[in-house]
Amino acid sequence: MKLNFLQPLFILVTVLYLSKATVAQNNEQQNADQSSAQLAKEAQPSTPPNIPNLYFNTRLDIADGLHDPQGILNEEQSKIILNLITNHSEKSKIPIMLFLFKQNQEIPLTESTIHTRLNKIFVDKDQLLVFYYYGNALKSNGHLLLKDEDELLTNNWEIDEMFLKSARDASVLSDNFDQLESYVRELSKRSFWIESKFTKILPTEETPIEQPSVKKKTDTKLKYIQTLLNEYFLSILAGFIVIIVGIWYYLWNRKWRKYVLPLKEMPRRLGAEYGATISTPLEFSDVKVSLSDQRSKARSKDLEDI
Amino acid sequence: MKCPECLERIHDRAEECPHCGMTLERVHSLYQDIDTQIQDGIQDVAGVLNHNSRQQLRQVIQSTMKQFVGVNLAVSFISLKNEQTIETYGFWLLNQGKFNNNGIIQSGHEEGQGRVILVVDIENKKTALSYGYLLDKYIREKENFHVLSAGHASLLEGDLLQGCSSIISTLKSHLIKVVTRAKKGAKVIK
Repeated sequence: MKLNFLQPLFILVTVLYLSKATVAQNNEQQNADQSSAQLAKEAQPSTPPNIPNLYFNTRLDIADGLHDPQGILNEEQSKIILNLITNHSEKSKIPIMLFLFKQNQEIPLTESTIHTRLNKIFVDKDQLLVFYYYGNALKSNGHLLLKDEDELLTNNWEIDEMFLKSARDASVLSDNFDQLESYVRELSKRSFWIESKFTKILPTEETPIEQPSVKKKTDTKLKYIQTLLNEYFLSILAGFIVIIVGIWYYLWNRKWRKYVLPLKEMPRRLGAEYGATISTPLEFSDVKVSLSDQRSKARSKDLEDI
Repeated sequence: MKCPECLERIHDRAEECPHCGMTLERVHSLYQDIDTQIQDGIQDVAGVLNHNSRQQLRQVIQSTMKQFVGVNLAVSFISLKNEQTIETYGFWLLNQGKFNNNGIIQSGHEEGQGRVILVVDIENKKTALSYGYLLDKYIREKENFHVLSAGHASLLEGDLLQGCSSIISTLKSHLIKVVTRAKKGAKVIK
């Protein structure tokens, strides 16, 4: 009786145990299958990415500051980096654009081709472009792209140094992602001097290019003269007419004015009733006898007399 | 003051030159054959002016004379010979010349004392200015030279009309300056 009562319970427990064991076994098997598949996948030779097409395609449309077509960063890491880049872009006039490569990847393009393609991709955009090699910060390099410049400003030692120092600071860290994060932060900090240095070639809508002060002054003067002419046109015209009439009157008066020489009582001499003064004659017989010769001759004669 | 004949300095009241004994009477014998008529400010004994030149020169002379009351301006073209000199001729003509200006000269001063004669000696290629007593104090030797040299280039080229016009124009400017400078004594009539 006692056995009959316990029998179904025993069966139930046994069944439950067996079913659990089966599930665990299945899970283990599935895990084993997955890991084996993964190993198999890793063991297979991966096809090399088409770097020129992924990074330097002239039809590439890059909206944000991170270009990671190979998926090197996971979603969370991408968000952190993007957040840093966005923060920088909000404060700076030159946004950062990060092209992410794997540690030992090489760009199979010549420098000139890269320049040409970048200029087409970033047409009308100012960018602080970085080629970052994930896990190898020291290999990273960067370029300053300015829309008003035909060439990439890569030969400026100050810009090169900025990238190099950022990379050095980042390479101290052990973790690859920490290196990248540090690199972006350092670059963001160091890039602000560029704005002041390239103010002349970095116009923005809010702050138009500062013109040289001389030109500004000239413009102000011209505007002032224009305003004067507009407001006081009639007065200026009247003044001008008065001056013209004044000059005309002066000339007319000078022409028609009659002069009376003041009469001074002069003694008579040499029996002459009207006058006895005669100037030193001037010769015009010979071209070679110049005026200056005649003048000096007349002077010396006067001196002799004295 | 200088003696027109020997060009030595003389006293401004000298009745005759103490150096050469020159007087107007003595000089008169040298030029007595020359016609003393000066018509409209021009005496052309040398016969160098054509009708047009004479007309133009007359206009220049008359416009100057109208502006300066009492100044009697004339131009004389002469060919002097042998003992005749431009200095003595200028002196003689200034005192012996008979001016006929058709009433241009305004009253104000004794007519003869305001005489100014520009003498051009065609033969010896010389030119000189002789003045009446009125202008004695206003035109010095330095100014004389300046006035005469204004026409030098044209005279060298043989352009007598242009040369004389330039000399008269410069003389006019100088006289205006003189009058302006001597404002206290000068009267300006409008």
